[in-house]
Amino acid sequence: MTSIKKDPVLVVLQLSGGNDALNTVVPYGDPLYADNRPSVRVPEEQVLPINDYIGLNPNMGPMKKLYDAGKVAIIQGVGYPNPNRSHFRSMDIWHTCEPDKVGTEGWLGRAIKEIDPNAENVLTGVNFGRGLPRALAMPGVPVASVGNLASYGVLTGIEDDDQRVEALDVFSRIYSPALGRGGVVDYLSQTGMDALKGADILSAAPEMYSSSVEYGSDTVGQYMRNIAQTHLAGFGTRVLYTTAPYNSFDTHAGELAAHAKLWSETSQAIGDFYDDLKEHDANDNVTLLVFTEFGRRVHDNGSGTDHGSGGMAFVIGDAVKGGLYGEYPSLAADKLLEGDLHFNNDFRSIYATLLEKWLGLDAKPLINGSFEQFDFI
Amino acid sequence: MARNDVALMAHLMRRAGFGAAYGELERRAAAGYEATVEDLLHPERHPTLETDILERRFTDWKEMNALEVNQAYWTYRMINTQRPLEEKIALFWHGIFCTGNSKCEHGRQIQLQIDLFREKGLGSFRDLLLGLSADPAMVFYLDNCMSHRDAINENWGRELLELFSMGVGMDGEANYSEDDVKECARAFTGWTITNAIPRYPYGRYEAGFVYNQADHDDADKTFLGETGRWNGEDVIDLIVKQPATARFVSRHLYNFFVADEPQVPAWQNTPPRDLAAIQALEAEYYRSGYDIGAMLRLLFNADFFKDARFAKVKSPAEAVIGTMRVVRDFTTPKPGLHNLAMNIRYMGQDLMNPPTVEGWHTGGEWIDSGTLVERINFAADQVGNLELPGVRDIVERVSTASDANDSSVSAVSASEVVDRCLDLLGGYELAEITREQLVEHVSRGGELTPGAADFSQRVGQTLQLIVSTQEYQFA
Amino acid sequence: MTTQVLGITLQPSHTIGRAEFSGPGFRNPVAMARGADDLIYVVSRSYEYRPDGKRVTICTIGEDYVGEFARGVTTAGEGEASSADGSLIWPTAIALDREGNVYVADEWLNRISIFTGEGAYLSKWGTPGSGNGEISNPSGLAFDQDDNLYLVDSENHRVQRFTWDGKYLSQFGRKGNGDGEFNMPWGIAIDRHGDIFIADWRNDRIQKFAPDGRFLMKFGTSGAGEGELDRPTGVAVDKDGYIYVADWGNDRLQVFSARGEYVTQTTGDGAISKWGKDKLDANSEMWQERDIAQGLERERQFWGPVAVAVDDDDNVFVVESARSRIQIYRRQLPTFFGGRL
Repeated sequence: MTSIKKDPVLVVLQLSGGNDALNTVVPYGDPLYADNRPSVRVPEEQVLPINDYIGLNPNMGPMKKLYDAGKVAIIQGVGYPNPNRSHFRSMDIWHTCEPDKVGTEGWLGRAIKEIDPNAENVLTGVNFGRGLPRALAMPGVPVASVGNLASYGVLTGIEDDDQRVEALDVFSRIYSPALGRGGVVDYLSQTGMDALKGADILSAAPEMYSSSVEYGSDTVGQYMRNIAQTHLAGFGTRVLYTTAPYNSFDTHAGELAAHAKLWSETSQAIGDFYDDLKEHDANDNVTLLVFTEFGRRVHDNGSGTDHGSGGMAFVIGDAVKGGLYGEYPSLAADKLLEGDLHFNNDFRSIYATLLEKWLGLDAKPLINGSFEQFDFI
Repeated sequence: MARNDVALMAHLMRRAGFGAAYGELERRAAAGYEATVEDLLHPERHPTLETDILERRFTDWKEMNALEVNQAYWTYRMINTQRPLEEKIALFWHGIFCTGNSKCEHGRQIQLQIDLFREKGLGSFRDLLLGLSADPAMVFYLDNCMSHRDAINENWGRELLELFSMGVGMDGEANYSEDDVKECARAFTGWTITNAIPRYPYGRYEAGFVYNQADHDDADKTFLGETGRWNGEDVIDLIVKQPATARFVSRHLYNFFVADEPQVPAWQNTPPRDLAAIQALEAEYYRSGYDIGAMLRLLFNADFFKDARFAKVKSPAEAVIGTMRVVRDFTTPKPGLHNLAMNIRYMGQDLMNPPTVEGWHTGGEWIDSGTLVERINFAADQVGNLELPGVRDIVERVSTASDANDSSVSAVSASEVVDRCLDLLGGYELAEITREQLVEHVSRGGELTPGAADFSQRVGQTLQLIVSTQEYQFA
Repeated sequence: MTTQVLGITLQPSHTIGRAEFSGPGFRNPVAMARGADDLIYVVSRSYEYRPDGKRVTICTIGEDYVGEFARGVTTAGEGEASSADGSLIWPTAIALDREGNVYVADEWLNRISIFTGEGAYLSKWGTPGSGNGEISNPSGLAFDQDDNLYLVDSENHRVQRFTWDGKYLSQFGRKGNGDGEFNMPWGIAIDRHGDIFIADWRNDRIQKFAPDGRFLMKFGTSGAGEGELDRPTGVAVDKDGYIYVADWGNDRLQVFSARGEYVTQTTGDGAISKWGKDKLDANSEMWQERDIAQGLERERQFWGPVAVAVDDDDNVFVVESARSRIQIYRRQLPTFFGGRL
């Protein structure tokens, strides 16, 4: 076992709403792109070219820089058989790796259970955002969901500091498991103490942190900063998760402006995050996965694009062999799947690669099957 | 009013509804316990909410398109209904007859299913099952629309038996065979729905139930040992008379209204916590002709119910709504309802979008370190808000606590404050050691004098600590 | 002597809109106003958790998208509407003054926000309360010929008249169900004579007043029959005095003569809009789904017809809150004007 600091850490950024793959990794060299996107098209001259066929959205400058440095793997044509165009259901499938039946356990919840089977560290997995994504759900796995790191904790509504300290003191005595009252109450007591302990530790992270990097004030920027703070604090956290605000990538209308803003913020947050870790020499054991639940329709609707399939994912970090993985799905009408890009890579191949080659876990039981692995790590 | 009568009424209202503010508890206790049970069992005696004004303020409630809009709507209903048991029985059936938005993606269609539970949930279990079998959201959710005469889909047939009526087994024995599942599915072939109008460009349209005789398998079937050309309705008639169904419904009622039982899948091999109570409910099931209201009348008036105070962990809906009914916020339409409703989701109960058809795991399984923090912080924020009318009312009542009426004693004692707060929140009882901690904490702040500058705030803090206790997480 | 009501007919013209939180389309629209040339301004109220959908859309009668403004988003919290200047929380009504400036009422903020015709924010006014000039849940706006603004002060059960910049001038009405009394009134219209029509929402009737607030007449009683009303929300008057009522609870539009006699009604003739066609083309399997859909005729029907407007070009607009669209009719008089057969 290497030192805690150098254990591999996986960070996941979920782009909720269904990011438009075509306007993210833009096939500007394909005339079918312009044909299908009469109204919602990134102008060819603005694309940040990767080769003479595809390029990144012009608002992804910081990510292009990381790409050029060889630290970004772009996984093209990601999906799964019989794609589902419901946000809820498709996200569930990504979270649980159960495309055919409804599952309740998340792939990362299972991974955390493997990493820390006895839940010795209440912070092995941490989520930033209210409510636990199903990806992290697993019975017996405590995962803190942090809405706001600066004010996370129990009884945060008590504004006066002294009063809150007193109240927490009473709380810890009431919840002391030593009282031994039996049954569900004991379970509640233990859970309350876990929560208090986790909050105590986490609340120290911002105090311990200093950095020259200034993140954006948007939600993703702030949560990526929180992730950096938590990682840098050295709590032994191995899986960190956050989500772009509620379905923000769901660009049915006004897509060009909305998508530009989203990627400008997201790309900046990712670039800042990398710079921040690098500044603290804490970048080499972190890998970031950026994913979305589906791609969008190939043809625009005059103002935006509607739910489709066949998306893109990014894996970013020092351990990553940058480049393009998989094929860019054809835009030819006869190659589309019900009007969408036809996926050629199963998302579980990405998971398998990250679990096996990065976290060193046996992926098969965590993602319900064997899937071919990529070489990006 | 005897203190215990009010506390018992608080218990009844928490279980048969979502709790009530102290004034209502006193009024109901004065009217009498049995009379209140009758009142609850007759929601039609009280007016519905005024839909016109609600749809005027919440313009999106007419369309009721998205899951979150439905959740806000149901949250508002639960807080403000004058028919608490109507909403509670709907929540009860929703937890059993699960239908999820993640598959249906049509908020309004699921809300119509909840309406079915409101309308038929206190009546005949047979009628309810029949209504459920023809409910478009359910027909779609469990794929009965994909079940055809020549190619059955067993999903509905199986869950009807396993999750909705009989359960896998009881007393260690299986209740039905795999063949029964197939025969059940065959009987329901042809029970389908209309092809939908696409949601673009103007939004969704209600689906309709259709019985397609041409796609119905009309041949003989042998179901639960009886042979005939059974159709869906016949199958339901056969199901409802099974002892397994009487047991299953009784255990569900007991688990939801009386005391936490093990999770449902364990019922085949785990005997009921209180067999005598279950048997009394089973007898009433048959006596009344499968009438859920009659079973609840027996249940609420039984000693096994009255003695089961705080024997259940609150569900997130109960935790949120129960607190809101005491602090009395959102009694009229206003912005912020969505964020309020989301707390139920954050605590682990995404209403109308259960994790699977098996619904939510209940009891202690509601609680983990994340959801416990959500519960405590939510309730503490509410009861600590001295602007809210229900909190002001509690402060006022504490300030006129009995020993303060004696003009020679101007202060209220710390233990009096704690006890009054416990009563006013709904007859809560703390472990003695916890109560002592609270009393000590309150007394450390010095004398509590009604009218003094810090009086309201210190009562508010006492309330905050009470709702942070383990005990407050129980109903 | 029996009076013969001169009939008009409503000829379905076309439908505009589709359900969207931004761009071409509306989301739970509640009000509209005609602008210069062929412009219309449409107020969308959206859902609480999608404040980005709260906005005023500018488009043409021919369904060309021009722009949008007054979007109610804040970065303060996810899904929280903003009360910053120029944004909306519970918008209810819209009116244009003589110069083409746009006035939008917000019944939560008790605020009138003023924008240029292009959507640039100018100013605001509004003080909550029940005193003279104070407002509670404003829900209808209309300018008279002198560019004074009549405001339906819904929770104060009255109508108040202001200058454009919010100086109180006069008022009429109080709570009740007698002549000249109101119960949560909603929509308003002013005819070419300056007479005022109010949708007296919870009294299920329309009342007409002289410019000085004198009660003139009323029509409508609770019900679903011809000429009966169920929570009428919007009212409009055409150049010939015909009165159009958005009969919200009955999901229909009714037309009355200038004397308040029932003339005709429609329950909707919705068709696929231009933007709607774009949407279906981008999701082409939905065209096939429509071919096998059952009950497609329901698409024609109004759902939540909340506001009605008429213009001098014989266009009648019906705004449907629950279908996020506007159905447009052509008003046709049966009068024979000469010419060849």
